[in-house]
Amino acid sequence: MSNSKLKKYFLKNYALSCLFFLLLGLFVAFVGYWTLSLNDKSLKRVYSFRLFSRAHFQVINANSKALYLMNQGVLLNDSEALEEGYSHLETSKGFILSLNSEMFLNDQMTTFDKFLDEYDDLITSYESLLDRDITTLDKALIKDLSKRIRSISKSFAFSESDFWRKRSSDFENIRVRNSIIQKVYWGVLTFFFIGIVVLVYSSYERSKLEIALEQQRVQNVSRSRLTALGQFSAGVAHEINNPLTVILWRLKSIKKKYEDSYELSIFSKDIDSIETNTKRIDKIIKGIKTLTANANEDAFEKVSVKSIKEQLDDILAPKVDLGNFKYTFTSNILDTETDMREVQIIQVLINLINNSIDAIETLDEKWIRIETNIEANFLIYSVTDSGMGINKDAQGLLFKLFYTTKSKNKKGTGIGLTLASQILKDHRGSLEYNPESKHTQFLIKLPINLEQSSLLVKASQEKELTT
Amino acid sequence: MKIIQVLLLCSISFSIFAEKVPRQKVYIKGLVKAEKTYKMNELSTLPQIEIKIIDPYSKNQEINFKGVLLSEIFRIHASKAAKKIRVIAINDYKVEIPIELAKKEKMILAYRGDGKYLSVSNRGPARIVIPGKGILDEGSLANAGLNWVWFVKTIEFIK
Repeated sequence: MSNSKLKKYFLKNYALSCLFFLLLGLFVAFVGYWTLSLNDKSLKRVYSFRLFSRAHFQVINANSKALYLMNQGVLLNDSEALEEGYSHLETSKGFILSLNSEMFLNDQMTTFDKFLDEYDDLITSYESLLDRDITTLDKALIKDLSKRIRSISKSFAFSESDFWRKRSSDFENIRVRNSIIQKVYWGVLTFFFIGIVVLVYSSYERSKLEIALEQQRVQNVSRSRLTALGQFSAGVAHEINNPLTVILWRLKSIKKKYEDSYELSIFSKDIDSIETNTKRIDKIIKGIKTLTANANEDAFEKVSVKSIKEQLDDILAPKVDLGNFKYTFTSNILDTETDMREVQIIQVLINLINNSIDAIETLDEKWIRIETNIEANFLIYSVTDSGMGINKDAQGLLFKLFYTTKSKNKKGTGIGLTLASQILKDHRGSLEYNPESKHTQFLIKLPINLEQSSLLVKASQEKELTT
Repeated sequence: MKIIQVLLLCSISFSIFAEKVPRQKVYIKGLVKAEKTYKMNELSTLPQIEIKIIDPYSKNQEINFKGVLLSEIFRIHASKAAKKIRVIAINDYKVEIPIELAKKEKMILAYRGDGKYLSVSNRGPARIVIPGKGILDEGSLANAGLNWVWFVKTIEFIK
């Protein structure tokens, strides 16, 4: 996937996530506002309902007390009881008036107006009984008062029950709304849960894409580097190769022309030396071609340890000849073959050896040793140098792109080991640093049978998916 | 004779225009120095306070209440053992108010409003009012209105 496509993919994901949460937020805000405003109204209504009912019962209670005390006062000629009865009757009127404070119930007040007038009349009649002795003539008045007070109480009892019958629809509305709110609550919760799942999935996809992007970057860097270097080297090799061919052809021609002659016997040693060194130059040129070739598209071939050894010997000969370090390649499995892109594996080995050369430059003891062994269907090339290992902090970063411990003078790019590691992954093998070794040691692991290894890897991946 | 007639007429006129005192009484009981019953007009013999208060039970109208601080009634009548004031309404609704709270909130036993004796339409003739509460909405009134006792009949001092 190209960078622009990746960018578009990320942008699309973020935009969708933002839109999702924006819509969810708006929905929650709307439902929240609706719920709060309805709850506020419900609170006021229920409070008013409670006061309304309470006032009814207070009226009935006050009337009952007034009735009782009036009859007791008359029966026992108790002026205190009569007076208290009067107070209760007045209070009864007070409770009816208290309903006035409930603005929500204003529409109900017309029902009570007739009672207020009747109360005024009742209170005046009752008051006429106070502050004097009760006579037999008052019995009719008392009977009338009792009847009227009972009638009012009955009316209030009916009114209260009628009110609650009407309010049943209000309570049903509250119940239905509560049920809707519950559904909305679970809906929002479900949406939120889905949102989290989507986010986690997006993050997972993103991390996968980031890994792919990182690999692509490594490949791009190495490809461009190798392409440039390859083009340059191919040009140089071509330019050197042409005169070299001429030299070799001329030598062959001289040798043929002066075959068995005396002159040739005089210069044969010099001519042989020229021929040997020219051939050596030819080998070096071929080595350069090998190192700089872009072998990504090469086919896998069976290559023996011996072949690898010979090529390394040829490539490293000029450096070894300088005598700056001791180089050995030891193997007792020279005929063992592995599937590989030969050029790439040589590139990896040379890269490790060059790193070693740089690392041991300042040491008194300078040696580089390559050894081979077989371990669990893997052919292992160990590249060891006389260094004392890599510190623990740097070990974890060794294969990270652009990480380098080399100084600027050495022109370390931090590409070599990352690229080498990638090459070996492509071979179903691995490149590892061995922290157990006393000296600095890298292990190149290559499957002896690539086909079998591929099948094993595939089976392992399928097993992971199943579990 | 004429003079007697004029005087009689004047006294009748006076009684017609004289303000009617509510019949209800306020009883002072419990841990008191001596029990006492106040008629509404007798409450004026106690130290008076007059203050404008927004009455949440009269559609938030501002009323100029006149009455006696509960703390003053406590000071005058309560014995040393008393710590709380129990206010009982004629319908037996009752609250218990610690004397510290009554002092702090300046709770008043009001019996006059805007120059007149409070009637039952004003939750009188005696009621508890609390100054400085501003406008109380219906929701908060359910709790804040607990101590605004209407139709006060008895004030009892308790431990």
